[in-house]
Amino acid sequence: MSRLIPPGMFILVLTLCAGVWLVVSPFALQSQPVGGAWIASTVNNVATGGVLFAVSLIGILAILALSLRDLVHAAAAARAAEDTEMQRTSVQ
Amino acid sequence: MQTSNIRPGKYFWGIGATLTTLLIGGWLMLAPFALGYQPYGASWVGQTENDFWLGLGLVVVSCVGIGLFVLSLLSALRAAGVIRPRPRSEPVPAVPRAAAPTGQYAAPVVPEVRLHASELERAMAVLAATLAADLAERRRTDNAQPAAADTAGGRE
Repeated sequence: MSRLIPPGMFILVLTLCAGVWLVVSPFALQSQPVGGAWIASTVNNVATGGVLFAVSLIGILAILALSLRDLVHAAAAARAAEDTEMQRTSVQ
Repeated sequence: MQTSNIRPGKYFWGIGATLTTLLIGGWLMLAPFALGYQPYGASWVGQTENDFWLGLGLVVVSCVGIGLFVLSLLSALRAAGVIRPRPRSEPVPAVPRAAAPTGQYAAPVVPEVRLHASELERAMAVLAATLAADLAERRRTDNAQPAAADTAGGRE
């Protein structure tokens, strides 16, 4: 039986956290001068971190939505099978 | 074969997302040198170290993620019957020995050949059982000959 949520999704949670760290790291490590224009490394880190965060979030949400859809389909199939079984029993 | 229940979409989304994070990790490792905020030949500045090691971690973690999603996809396909399930290796049963009077060698019983065993294993099992039976027969014959000689000597 396959799992409802694949274990690889936890990897995407990790990369989501890495994206957050990338965005805040120039300010946390104080490589970005306070009040000055953003230097190249800050622009790169914020842009890359933003993309990483967005990709991870989209991946997590897509997996959760598709897992939910699988759950709904499985429940509908189980209910249909149960109804069929009840009809067969009542006919007999 | 039931193939209508396969819904591999979430695995493909996962593989795509982790593939993208892999590329981002690779870019992070290269960026300090590509964008020039790491002076050439100098020791690494704080931002370079942060980007490089974070990028390396991302590459490793993304590779693990891709592997996990591929394994999940294979497992789902296997459960749906699209690909054949892996054959499980079964432990070789211990060879039972026939009941024998105390002090005598008991010949091993030829083990039942399992359908899942490979041809080589089957051939080896039959060969081992045949050799053991042959050895047991030879020992029995050797034990019987001195006893017969002793009986004949006693009569004389």
